[in-house]
Amino acid sequence: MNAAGLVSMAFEGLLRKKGRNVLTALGIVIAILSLTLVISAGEGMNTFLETELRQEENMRQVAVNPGFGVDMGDFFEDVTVEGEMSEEKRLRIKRAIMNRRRPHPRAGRKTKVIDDEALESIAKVPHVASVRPLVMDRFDVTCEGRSSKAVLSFGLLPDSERYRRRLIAGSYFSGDAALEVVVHEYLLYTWNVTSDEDQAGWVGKYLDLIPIGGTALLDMFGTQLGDGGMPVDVEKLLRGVELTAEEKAVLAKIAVKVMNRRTSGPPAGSDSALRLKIVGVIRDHEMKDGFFNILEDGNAMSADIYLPLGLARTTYKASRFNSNAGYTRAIASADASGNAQQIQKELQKQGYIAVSVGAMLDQMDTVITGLTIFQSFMTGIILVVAGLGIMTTMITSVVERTREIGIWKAVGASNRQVLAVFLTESAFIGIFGSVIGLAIARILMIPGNALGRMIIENETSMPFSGDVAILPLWVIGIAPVFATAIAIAAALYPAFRGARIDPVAALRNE
Amino acid sequence: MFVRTEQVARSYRLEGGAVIDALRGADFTAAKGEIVAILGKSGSGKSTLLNLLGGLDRPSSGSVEVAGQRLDKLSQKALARFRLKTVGFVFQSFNLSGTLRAWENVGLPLIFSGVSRSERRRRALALLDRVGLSGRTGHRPGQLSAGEQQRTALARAIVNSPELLLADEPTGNLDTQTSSDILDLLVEQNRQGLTIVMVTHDPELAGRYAHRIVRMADGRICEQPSAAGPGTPPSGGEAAP
Repeated sequence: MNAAGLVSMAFEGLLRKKGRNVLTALGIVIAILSLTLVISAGEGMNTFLETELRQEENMRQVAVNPGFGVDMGDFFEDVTVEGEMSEEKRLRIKRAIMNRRRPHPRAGRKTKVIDDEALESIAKVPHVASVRPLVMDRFDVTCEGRSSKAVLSFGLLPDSERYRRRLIAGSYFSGDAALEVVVHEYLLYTWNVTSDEDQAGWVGKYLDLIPIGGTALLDMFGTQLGDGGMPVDVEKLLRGVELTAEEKAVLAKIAVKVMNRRTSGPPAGSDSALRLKIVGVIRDHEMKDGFFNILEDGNAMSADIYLPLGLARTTYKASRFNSNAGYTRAIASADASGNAQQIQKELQKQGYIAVSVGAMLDQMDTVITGLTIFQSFMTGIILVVAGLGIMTTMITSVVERTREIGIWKAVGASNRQVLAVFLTESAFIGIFGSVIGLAIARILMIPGNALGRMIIENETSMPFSGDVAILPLWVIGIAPVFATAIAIAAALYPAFRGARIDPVAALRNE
Repeated sequence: MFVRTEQVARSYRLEGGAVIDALRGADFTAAKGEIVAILGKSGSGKSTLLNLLGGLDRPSSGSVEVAGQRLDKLSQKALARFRLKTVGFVFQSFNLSGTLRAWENVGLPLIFSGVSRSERRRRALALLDRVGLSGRTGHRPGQLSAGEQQRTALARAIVNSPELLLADEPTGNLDTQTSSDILDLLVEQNRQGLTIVMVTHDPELAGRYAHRIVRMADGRICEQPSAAGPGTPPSGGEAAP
């Protein structure tokens, strides 16, 4: 029997019970559809990581955070419990160590501050090409009778081309310490300055930057004075604390002073305000801007005003609270991406919480790959169930066609030829189901990607114009092969049963 | 001898464990080009013998030799090849595939020989023309009369040009006229060299068309004239049409 004859017999067999065979193939359709969507979603995420984030400049960077006296080690990998104890206790202690590492990496007292001195020392770590702080602060701002409380400022390098490209009006900073500010279009929007033309009109105006120090600290003092001449919130805090009358009087004096500062604040244009010229208006990062610097752009996302880095550092340190706490974070850039891990380890050794972008992305990769494998396994179960459906259908088919198998054998069909006919029928169910499944998946990905983009843009502040799900070419090649293999495997038992039918008994079968 | 069985026996074990002896040491012969009719009552072992001669079944003991091949010693694969190349079957109940057209039924054995679709069609149409069904080639068995179905079955049996045709009650479901037509076709094939072994319970038809009549009872051959060869007129005395 040649291939064409085999195909013709298999088709003829399948067409006899179209409805039943289409329903059987539906199992494969659903399985391949699910599998394709799961893999495509994983591929979409991986592609985003690879093309948008895993770029040389990102991969060279290491985020350096202050150390908090908690030994993070290599997360859970190097947990060893030494000493004489039962295995049960060893496991308990190990869990206790892991619990202390996991949820509160920043718990404890800050033991390693990132100040200018620390930055100099980090710069000397082997393979560190450059290091700079991420200067983020909050200020009250006023300009032309408009004002906003506690807006986030972010310090930018004065030669940053990426941020220069994001300007929608005006120009970029003239120098590292220039008394200039670039405002975000959102800030102007909150001031009811909405159109591009109107916003461009604010370039050249002067904005007053009023330091507010640690607002969290000031908030503790509230705004209401209690009966004892002490702010009510401070009274609450001191409940149960034994103080002498003298101590109470001093504390009340300080607290009231701080409370008054919190409620009034220094007036605009006063000595404590810094007057900066608005030189430009900037928008958020968009996909068309290309490279997204995870550490810098990620942290700058909710900033309303941008200062030249030199100026930002000066104003930051002007606050006693800030100067004691040090910078929130620094970026160390390696001379080559391959050395970022080494820098990370060295800085961890020195007591910082340091994570390279590569390590962050690797972790995300691992999570995505793990999830994809898990979900693929779960959808694989659907494929197994579909295989069982095929087996049932083929057994029914063999039983129904017993007499016909007898005829085939009487006219000269060998056992192997009978086997081949049934296996080919089943293979067609697998091929048909997988092709339809792939096609539906590809069609569903069109609205799916549009919906995904919409959700990402609505639910996160990330501009996103890529595809949430990408159908990899290898899936198009492998899915039909995989589904066909499952279908053939499922048909082996019924096909062997059909092949071994005794022709004499089969011809007597009604 | 073209067909020879020696002391061939076939027993079947039933589900309850009881054993039925369908054949109890039958010695059967047929010369090349002969038409042999096997007569006997129901249960006499006629069909069992035919199945053994066609390689559809294997004997419990004894030997079966057809066209120089010891069927009792052939593998399953070789037996299938034997059925494909050497033998053709015609059954009482036609055994046509209900979903296939007449020409597709005729061409069915050719699929297992690896013949292309166009060649299968060409050969099937030619044979259907020979059995007088040129106008019914595209019909399915349900659309054909009993006689037409048996003609189709006959065309299928000879499509691979076998040396031996085994017919099990080929006229059992047909009226007298149609039976004669079918048997005339068999005789025509016989004149072209085809050896035919036909099971029937109709002594008159056997007498009119067979060269020799073999009688069976209780799984044994109880009467077997010596093989006369194809030149001898049919045993009933009338000349074959």
